[in-house]
Amino acid sequence: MNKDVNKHVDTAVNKNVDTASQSPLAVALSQVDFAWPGQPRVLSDLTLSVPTAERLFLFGPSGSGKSTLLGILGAVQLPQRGSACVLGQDLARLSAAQRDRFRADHIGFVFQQFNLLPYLSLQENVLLGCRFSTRRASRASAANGSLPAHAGALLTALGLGQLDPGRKVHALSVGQQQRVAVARALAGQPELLICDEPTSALDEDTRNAFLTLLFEQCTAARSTLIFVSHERSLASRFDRSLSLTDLQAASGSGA
Amino acid sequence: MSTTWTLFRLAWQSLWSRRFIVLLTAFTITTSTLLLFAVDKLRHDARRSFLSTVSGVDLIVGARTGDVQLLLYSVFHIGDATNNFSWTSYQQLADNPSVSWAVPLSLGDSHRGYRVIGTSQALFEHYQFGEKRPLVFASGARFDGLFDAVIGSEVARTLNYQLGQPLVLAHGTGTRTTQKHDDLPFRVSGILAATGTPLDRSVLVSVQAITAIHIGWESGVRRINSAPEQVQQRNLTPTSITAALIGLKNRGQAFMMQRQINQSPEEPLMAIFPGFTLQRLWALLGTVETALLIISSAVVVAGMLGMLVMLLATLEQRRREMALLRSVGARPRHVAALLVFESSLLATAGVAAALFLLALLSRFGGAYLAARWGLFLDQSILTPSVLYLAATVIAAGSSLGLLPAYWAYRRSLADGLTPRV
Repeated sequence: MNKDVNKHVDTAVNKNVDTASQSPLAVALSQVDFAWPGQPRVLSDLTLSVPTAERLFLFGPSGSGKSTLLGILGAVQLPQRGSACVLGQDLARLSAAQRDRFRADHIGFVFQQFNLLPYLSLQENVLLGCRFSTRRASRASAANGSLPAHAGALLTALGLGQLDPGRKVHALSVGQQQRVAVARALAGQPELLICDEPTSALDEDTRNAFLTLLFEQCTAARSTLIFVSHERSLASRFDRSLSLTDLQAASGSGA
Repeated sequence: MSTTWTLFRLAWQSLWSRRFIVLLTAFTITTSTLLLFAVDKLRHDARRSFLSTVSGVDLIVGARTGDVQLLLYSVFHIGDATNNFSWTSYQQLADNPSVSWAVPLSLGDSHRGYRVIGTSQALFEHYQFGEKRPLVFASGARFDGLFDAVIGSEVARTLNYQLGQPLVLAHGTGTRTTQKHDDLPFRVSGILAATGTPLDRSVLVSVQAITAIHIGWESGVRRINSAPEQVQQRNLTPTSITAALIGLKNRGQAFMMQRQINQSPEEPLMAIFPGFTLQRLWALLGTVETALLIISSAVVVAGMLGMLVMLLATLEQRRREMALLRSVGARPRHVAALLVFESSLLATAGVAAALFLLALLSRFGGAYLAARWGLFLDQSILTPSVLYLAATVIAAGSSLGLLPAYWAYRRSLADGLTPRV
């Protein structure tokens, strides 16, 4: 990697972080259209504002453009029309490299499954994000003194303190794996945590316990939480609940 | 910690987690490159050994003929001399002030298919091969009596001859010669250690012995039987010999000496530089080594393709892994780099193991090759040629990784965070 480019990206992104911390909105999407190449629009005229530190529940049945929305929030895809600001940063102004770096520095993800690299240890999985972002690595060190200590603290907070951090992850139960995934996503205290159906493989008791731990840790890291799911029953535990279909203009929905 | 180092560690850990299939793949690379290295090493060592078949000799002198032909019959015992030259000329050569030593060679007889060389004791002092190695006796000693013979290692092994073994020389060089010098049997006085030169397939006797067994054969067939006691009494100075090996006091005089011999007024002689003519001869054989090298290169290509198949076969299963890496901030080219690292690691590990095995083989197989085939391996493994091949294989393996890497790059751009598996 070219060091000069990195430095340039660093300053650009850090400047935006300063404005981001003052911005009341963690996410501001406005009139966003998106279509995959050669396919009809999946998102049409979507507008969404998420205040900083909010816990937002986004309800979306399959085919409602959930994945696409996550791609846009995660700065992987750019909307074809409309603007997408995350943490005060207009994503369209960033190059592809800067967007990857922005995601590494500021956003944590928890997916429905395959959240962990099976060939890495528990601790290495938790610290994976810090390996791609010096910003998150330094915040993690600042929080607990060292990266391993940070990983240990997160794992303990998520009720996994009894596990050997050096062990491989494949023998963990699904519930444990999802909690490790939260630890991974929150390592280095990213401002935004995006969860894509993280509980759909869990039974109800595990799911409730999982949400409790998730909320605690979001509060501790002062992260904004966007939680996407098709399980409406979970909505009541969030600050606010929105339907993905409702966010879009009636004409384009369900395309 | 730099991203490159992170990716390198990820590649290593990913490979290690699949170590069974990965080791198998590395093993195919190892065996194929080991073959390539071994062929290359043997090729170089065989060439070196061939070019130094007669390393201490400055000139080979014979009756006028072609230079390759003179080398072939005097050193390699292939074909027969068309003419001999007189002992008087040989004596003049040996007495020349520039000449340090001269060894006569008298060819024309055989023993069970192996050529008999009539020569002098000086051969054992001056004949050198390889890196100026002198002749060494595996057992016994030089020929001392008139009917003593020294045999080469292959003769001893194939015919299972021990010291003291009586042997009868045959007249002529064909294997089916019916005329034998059975009136004057010889006795094995010494067995030479393997040299990797045609001496391994030779029976060495004195030139006087050659004269002795041909008494009464002036017309080409035996007219009278000789008895050893009678023969000893006679003047056994030969009238002619086939060739002579010459060592000069000063190598700088070689060209002058060659010209002098080639223009000798008494008799049509010619002198050749053995090293130079050996090189010409090797050039004729060069296509064989090239063919071997091409074949073993093809085997390496097959090994590499095995690795490519392994990498490509697992890619589809690894799309989620790629998406996860993308979600933590890896760039598409980081994902590509991961796969190039994997193929580089595989190729490097395979090549390193091959070098290690090559070292083991040459360390422990070297003695066998020297004893059985007289091929003296150069103990250095990391020759420029092997290093060049190793670098080429590693570079080729890493480049092959570009193929799955490109695939993963395109995939991770298209998949983003949510691969549609």
